[in-house]
Amino acid sequence: MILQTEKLTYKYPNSHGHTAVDQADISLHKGETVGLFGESGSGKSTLGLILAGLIKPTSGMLRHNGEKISAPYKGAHRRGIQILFQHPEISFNPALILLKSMTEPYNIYALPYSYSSLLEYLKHYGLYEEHLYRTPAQLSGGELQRAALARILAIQPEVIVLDEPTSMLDVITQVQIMNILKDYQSKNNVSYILISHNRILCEKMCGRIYKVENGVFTEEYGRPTDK
Amino acid sequence: MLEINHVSVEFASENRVLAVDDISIRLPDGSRTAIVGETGSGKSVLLLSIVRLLPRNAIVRGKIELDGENLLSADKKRLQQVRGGVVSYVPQGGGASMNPLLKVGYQVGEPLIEHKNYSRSQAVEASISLMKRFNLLNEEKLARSYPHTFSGGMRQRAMVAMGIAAGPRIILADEPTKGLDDKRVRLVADSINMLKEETLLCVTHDMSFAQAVSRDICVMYAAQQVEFGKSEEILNDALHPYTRDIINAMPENGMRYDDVGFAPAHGSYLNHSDGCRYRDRCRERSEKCVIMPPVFDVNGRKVRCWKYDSAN
Repeated sequence: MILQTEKLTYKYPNSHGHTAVDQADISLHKGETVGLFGESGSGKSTLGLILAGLIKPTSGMLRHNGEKISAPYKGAHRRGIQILFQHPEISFNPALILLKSMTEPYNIYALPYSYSSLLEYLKHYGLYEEHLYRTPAQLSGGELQRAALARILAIQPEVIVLDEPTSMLDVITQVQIMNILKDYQSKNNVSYILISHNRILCEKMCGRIYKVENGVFTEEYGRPTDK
Repeated sequence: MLEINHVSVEFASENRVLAVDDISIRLPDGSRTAIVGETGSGKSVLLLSIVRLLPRNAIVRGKIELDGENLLSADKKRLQQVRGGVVSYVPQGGGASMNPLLKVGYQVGEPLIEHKNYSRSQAVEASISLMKRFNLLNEEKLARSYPHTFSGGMRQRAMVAMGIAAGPRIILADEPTKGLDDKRVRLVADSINMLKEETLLCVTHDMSFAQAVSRDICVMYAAQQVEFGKSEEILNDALHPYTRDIINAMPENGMRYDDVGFAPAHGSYLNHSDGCRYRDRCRERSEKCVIMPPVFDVNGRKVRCWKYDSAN
């Protein structure tokens, strides 16, 4: 089990005790994709933020590879658990050209790269030299989301929380991103948590699905598990 | 009648960016048209060019005629009358589209103060009844609330209410359902479909939403119009290979799409060689596609693809 939560709960401070995540017990195995499916406001993104270590739960426990962890993550936990947001533009510094943003993970984790190896790598994501000298505002939503994904995959995480990664994008770009994700998973055995309000997308991508209603996470059984 | 006539938009920056390339669409009174295409295809820029809300470095060519009057040469004063009063632009309902410091009731009614000389309290009254028309529920309370307390779907419907407040004849809606879940998409579609008399031009990347609100669909790819036709015909029998790819890639159709390639860097078509812009990704390309295809007429439908060249 790569990720496991026990009675994970999040209550918003100062919002009349509203419980966004209510005692969630979810599990994630190596190499699988688990879906969190629900309407907007149901609490699925809040759980995603907790799993990614960006907010602290009010109560409950979270384990990564059996080890108890709490935000802010450090070391292997930090590198191992990544998140891809719905709005790719918030993942990029608006003042930097893409080249600077794309080299950040290599610099942070002291990974070897060269300009030409970076260009070769980005080709798989449909990004070319001409994209690298543009700022985020000069790139389309699909281009930015592919860049955000390329940047995450460059550090080879174990778990990626995908928070509505394609709900702002057209259907072809959506399929392209899903294809990149599936391809990477089959080669690297990475695990995904796919947060989506689209049932068909969840069923297409996920082996297991948790249905989310008013902060309550319920696993759905009896579904075919082929992807 | 709004007529978009050979409109091109270019941004003058270090590298010239062509965002809209020679688009023509006729919008007779009461027509309902959706512009469908991926992000960066130029559809939002086209909408903004109609109400002249583009940044200063934008160069717009062609004509945009409102009942024969070219809006591209209208002066500031005339544009103020047109915006909101005759042609209303409804922006995406994301966080930045409303003033966070003003109560929603006032914001929704503001076009009435601007165009119909309403007092502030009259405008708030009117905005409550507008929101009631779209079933936002608890409208009196909502009118006294600030935008951050609204969910995305509510904010989007409030934006539509604001757009129609001063009784414009033409509504331009920019991605009114982006990021919303299915239930909220239906609510927004219902709200838009309540507008029976107005002319609608709606930009979206969601083909099923386009079908729900429009009678005609214009498909854009890489700044150009590649197909135009009745919504039903497009959904059931698309002509252009790109339109067919979109329809097959829809989740409800099984997300059938094999990567052939990615779109060219958006706006960079000026640097690309001539020829059909979809050809690198097209499964049906032929040798002819290195030449830019013109728009062919196929039984009253328009399609920019050599497959439909009657000279074949």
